[in-house]
This record gives sequence, structure tokens and C-alpha cells, in this order.
Amino acid sequence: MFAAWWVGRVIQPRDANERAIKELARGFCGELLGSLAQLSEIVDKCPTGQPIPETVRHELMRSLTGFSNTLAIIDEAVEQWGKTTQFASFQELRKTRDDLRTLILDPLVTTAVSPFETTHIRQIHGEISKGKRAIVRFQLQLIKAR
Amino acid sequence: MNVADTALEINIAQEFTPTPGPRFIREGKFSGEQFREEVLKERFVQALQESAILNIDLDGGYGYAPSFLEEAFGGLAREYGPAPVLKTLRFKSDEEPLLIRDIDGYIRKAGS
Repeated sequence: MFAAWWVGRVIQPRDANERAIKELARGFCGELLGSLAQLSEIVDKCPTGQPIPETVRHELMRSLTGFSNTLAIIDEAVEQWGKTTQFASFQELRKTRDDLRTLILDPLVTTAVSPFETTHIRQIHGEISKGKRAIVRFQLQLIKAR
Repeated sequence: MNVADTALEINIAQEFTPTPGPRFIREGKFSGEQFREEVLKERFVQALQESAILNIDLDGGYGYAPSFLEEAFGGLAREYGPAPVLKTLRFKSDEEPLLIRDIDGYIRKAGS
């Protein structure tokens, strides 16, 4: 009898909470993938060997901020769940965000005439791919997580 | 720049620039080094003397390069030590909340 009460009052609501958090995080993972796809398109608009137009600079900034903010939402959800350290792939995502910010924003604000050369753009795309793989791994870990 | 003498608050976009630049003054306009030397340091010292909190508003600009933030706040911590900087500065960043964690990391790393 106590077991039934325990399952009904404690276990089931907790499972429902965890499911809700998992669903929320998985939903935002889709948004993260979308941000990276958008970022990739904007990076392709950057001319090599030439200055980057002001509008493209702002698009890059906005896109990176969007990625960052979606990551912050997932971070908060996972933290509420108390599982932050369990997901290695999420730590990789945080690192991808930091690396992308450094790779894209630091050269953008210098006075260099052409901040992005071909090799640099390749490096950015490499980092974006790494981020996409980390998102997929994180989604898989979320599915398996208890 | 319009720096109010007594306010223990800095709105970077309004008081310094909405388009923050690179790390060092030699690299371009509105650098992290310039911000630290011309705006942040004076207000930080004032806050220290008054045992007050210095609120830094990061919103309203076009975004920050990591090198700007590291040089401004990590640089301050290299000069005064991370503990008083962490104790004195409070950040507001509704537009990109993770920047606050980034800055916290720069300040802590400056001491290691």
C-alpha cells in the first residue's frame, strides 16, 4: 500500500517532470541545429580577401547571440534537472559556442581589411560541424538519460 | 563619452560605445583596453573606496568579442586581483545572459 502511494505521489510526478524537461531540451536542440545552419549560410556570404559588409557583420552577431541564448535555455533546464555534469556532449556544446565566438567575433572587430580568409572560413565550418555532431550526441544522451 | 561622476553604474553602450571593438588600443577603436583605462578603472576604484557595488550593463550594443571582455574585466582582475573584482562588479545582460558567465570565467582565470 505504501509502495503504491509512493509511486503515485513521488515517482510518477518526478518522472513526469523529467519527461517535460527532456522534451523541452530536445525541442530547443532543434532550434540550436537551426541556428548553426543559419550561421553556416551567413559565413558563406562573407567575401574572402575583402571587407565584410556591415549588414553581414550584424547578421553574424545576431546569429551567434541566438545560438548562445538557446544554449542558455537548455543549460538552465538541464541544471534544474540536476544533470549538467552527466552530459559530456553538452560541455562540448559550450566549448563550441566559445570557440565560434572567438573564431568569428575577434577577427570581425579588428581593423584588418579582410578578416576572413579561405582557411579561416573552413575552420569556422569545421567548428559548426563539430557543434552539430555534439547536438545530435546530446539528443541521444537525453533520450537514454534517467 | 558622457561619464557621470557619482553613478556606480556603467552602461557600456551609452557611456562608451554601442560597437565594442578589439582587445588592444593598437588594434582598433573602442577596445577593451581603452574601456578599462578610460571608464572602468576609475569607477571601480571609486566603488572600492566606497565599499559599493558597481553595476555593469552590457545590453544595448551590437555584441562583444571575447577579446574585448577578457581584456576589460580579466585585465582589471590582473591588476587588482580577482577577489575584489568579483566582489565589486555586478553584471546585467538580458540580451545574452551567457556573457556574464564568460566574464566571471575571465576574472577567475586572471588570478591563476
